[in-house]
Amino acid sequence: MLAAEHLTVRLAPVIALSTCVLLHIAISRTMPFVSRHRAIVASVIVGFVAVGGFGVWSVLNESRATISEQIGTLLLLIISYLALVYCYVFGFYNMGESARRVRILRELLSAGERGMSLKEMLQVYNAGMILDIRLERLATAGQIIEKNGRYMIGSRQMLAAAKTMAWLQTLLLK
Amino acid sequence: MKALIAALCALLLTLFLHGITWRIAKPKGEYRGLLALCAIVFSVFLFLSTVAHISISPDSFDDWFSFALLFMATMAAYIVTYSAVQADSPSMRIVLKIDASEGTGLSRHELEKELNDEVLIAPRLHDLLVGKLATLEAERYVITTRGAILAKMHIFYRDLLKMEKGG
Repeated sequence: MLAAEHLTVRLAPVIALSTCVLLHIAISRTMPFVSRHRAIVASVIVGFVAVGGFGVWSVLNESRATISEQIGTLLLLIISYLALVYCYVFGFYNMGESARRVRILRELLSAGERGMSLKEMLQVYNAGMILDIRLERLATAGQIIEKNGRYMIGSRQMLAAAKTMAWLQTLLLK
Repeated sequence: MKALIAALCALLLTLFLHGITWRIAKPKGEYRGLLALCAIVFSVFLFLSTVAHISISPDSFDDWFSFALLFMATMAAYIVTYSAVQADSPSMRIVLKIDASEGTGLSRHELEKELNDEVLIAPRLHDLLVGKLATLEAERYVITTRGAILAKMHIFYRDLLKMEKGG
């Protein structure tokens, strides 16, 4: 394989991530009827297919590589892509969607050099608003259900994730 | 295969050092601390390869490139996860509190009593000050240049996706 081809294969996770991001933006802009969840899942899958394709192409072109080297290359490309796309989905997309720090920064940016007092901040963004947004999201996703003005657990996916997060907090923070 | 094994070993070493260091003396700037740990571990592998010639470390340009990409990608994923763990998601707190009610459920009022501004907003404001994304001047929170860059990046991205403000 030529040096340029080698480099292209090594950059495959980045190329696949770029494909995922561009597709996500394209779907969000041109197909608003597609749910946010489906848009991101579709984009991630297309990126995965792209990186898988690069991996297979690399394996087919490196006839001198041993089986373990070929498996190593494939695993390396896939794990790198999965790590990068995880950062995109949870570190960037999800941050813009639900991170309080980002929302607070946006409000402070609007305030400019004058800044905001705590009271002014709480008038535009506060716990009540956060609760409203999260309860609606959780209810729409079926994670909680409302019965006679009381919220109960619905589907248990978010609960499982929350318990995992609580365990990680104990491990890392305490 | 060498780059894959080296990167996974580097990741495990970083996680181990993170666990040990944070228990002894948690740095004030946690994310800078994590990045410093990454740099230290990367340097260790560089030393192992160039000076000590240990077989586990990468030894060709291809291997180094792949090692660096995989190590940085997995470390970035770890830092993203740590950020989520540290920020204590309100959605997750809601479901945990509802679960703890043992079938009786919780009203909005009961949730709001526990998940108030002191719990949901104040710690995040503190994070922005520690991370130097905002400063506190005469009891007013003012965004810094770094904070403005981050905010503008997210505004641009949300506009690109044609989505509203998050939070």
